[in-house]
Amino acid sequence: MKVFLFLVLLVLFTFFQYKTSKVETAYPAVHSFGDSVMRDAGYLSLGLRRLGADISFVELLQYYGTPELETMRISAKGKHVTKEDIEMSEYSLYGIAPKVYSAIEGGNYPQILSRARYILSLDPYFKYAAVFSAGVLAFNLNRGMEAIELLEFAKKYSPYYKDYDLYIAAIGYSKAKNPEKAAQILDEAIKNPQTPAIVKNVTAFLHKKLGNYRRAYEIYLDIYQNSKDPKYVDRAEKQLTEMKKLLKPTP
Amino acid sequence: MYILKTLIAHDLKEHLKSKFMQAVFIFAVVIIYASLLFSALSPEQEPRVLANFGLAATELVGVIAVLFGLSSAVIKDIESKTIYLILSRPVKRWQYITAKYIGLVLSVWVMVFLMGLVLETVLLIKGGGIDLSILRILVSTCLKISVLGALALLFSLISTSVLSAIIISGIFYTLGHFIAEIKFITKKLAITAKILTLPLKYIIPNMAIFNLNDILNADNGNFAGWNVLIGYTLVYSAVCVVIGVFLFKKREF
Repeated sequence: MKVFLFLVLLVLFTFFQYKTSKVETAYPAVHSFGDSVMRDAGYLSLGLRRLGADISFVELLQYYGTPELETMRISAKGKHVTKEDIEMSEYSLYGIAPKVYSAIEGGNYPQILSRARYILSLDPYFKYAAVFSAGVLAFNLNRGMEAIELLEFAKKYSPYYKDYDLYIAAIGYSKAKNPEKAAQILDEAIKNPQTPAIVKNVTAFLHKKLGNYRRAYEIYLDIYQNSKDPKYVDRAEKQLTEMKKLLKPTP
Repeated sequence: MYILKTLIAHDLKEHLKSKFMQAVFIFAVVIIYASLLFSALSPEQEPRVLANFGLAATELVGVIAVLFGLSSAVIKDIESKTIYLILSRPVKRWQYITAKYIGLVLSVWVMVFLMGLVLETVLLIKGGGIDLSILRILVSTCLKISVLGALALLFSLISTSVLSAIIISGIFYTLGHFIAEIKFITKKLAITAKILTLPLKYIIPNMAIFNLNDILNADNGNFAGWNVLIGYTLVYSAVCVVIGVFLFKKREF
């Protein structure tokens, strides 16, 4: 009797092992490792890919937020880069502000794309990281092609996530010097509450430059009320004051 | 049945009174500290980072507790000679092993849920709502820990050394997360190697199916279903415990 029961248990064991082996894992297999093989192996072997992606994203934020830029010099003229230059560089897409980042030696954050790809290889569904990094590449660093490459990479895992298509289109229009269309598409994209503040900020800025002060005001207000990033909240507050003046009817 | 219940209740009480509660406290302090740190580093993704960090810590603490607890449970009783006292009473060997397993696994479950409570509280303080998916993830973590516990108990009875039991169970645990990679590698292998590695696929526990945190957040996450997860845990654990009981019965004291 005992032997029979044990055999039944073994049959059930084989059945469950077979059944679960047919279940597709949530995350695709990793075929290549990043710079630190041991760290990657740790994340994978403990089933902590999401945590690994989070830590790498925080590292990306630290890398992008490094203060070294403030002390760098513009290589061509040897001029000091001020805080204002850096703030302005976020709006350098249409030649409105000087392209500070591209003019600074080593200040164009060459690792953003590779770091973002690494994050996505750990967690291919970390959409915020993909959109944030693409936003930085396209709108802050003027590297639209890299942003599109990243979004195409992210799209392989989430082919039905329409926001990626919207960002690709918006970057395409902005490269074609069509800010009206870019703003229109970004307007659609920022309806998603998960949109990073950087993208909302760029959209508001485009509207402001196009003279759509009402819409720009609405977006800045959204950033001010909902963003948890103090840098963008401060910026939105300043812009709101400016927008209020612009929206005041002239006597 | 009464003896089994008494043994389980005794083990459960003993574990909850001891280092488990200290671990819960340390975890609570760590997670509150981490929440402050991460809120500064990633303000817009704070709830995600905090939840992932908390869930990972919960799982790791649970894994360590069950690995150390069940790998040493029987060996410690043998070394301290407590086992003679227990087995000299009307306690059958299968009851002793089963009670050790259930008692420790239950106490780790209690610990996991307490840590989950701390995590939910921190998320609430940080402005998030009550997230029921965290409860589901904790349940799947408990099931995963139960499978690992059964393996640790089995290896402690095979190897008679705590360290080797921990190492072998740890290897099985980590390999269990590499199911997708193992599938990928075996596809590339020659036919002989494929045949040789086939038994491995049927022995290694599939830990990836318990990663509900990944499954719930993936676009095409294939959830095996609760019936499969519970059935798998029960059957896998039962096989390990039964083999363990068989080995324990063969021992002479």
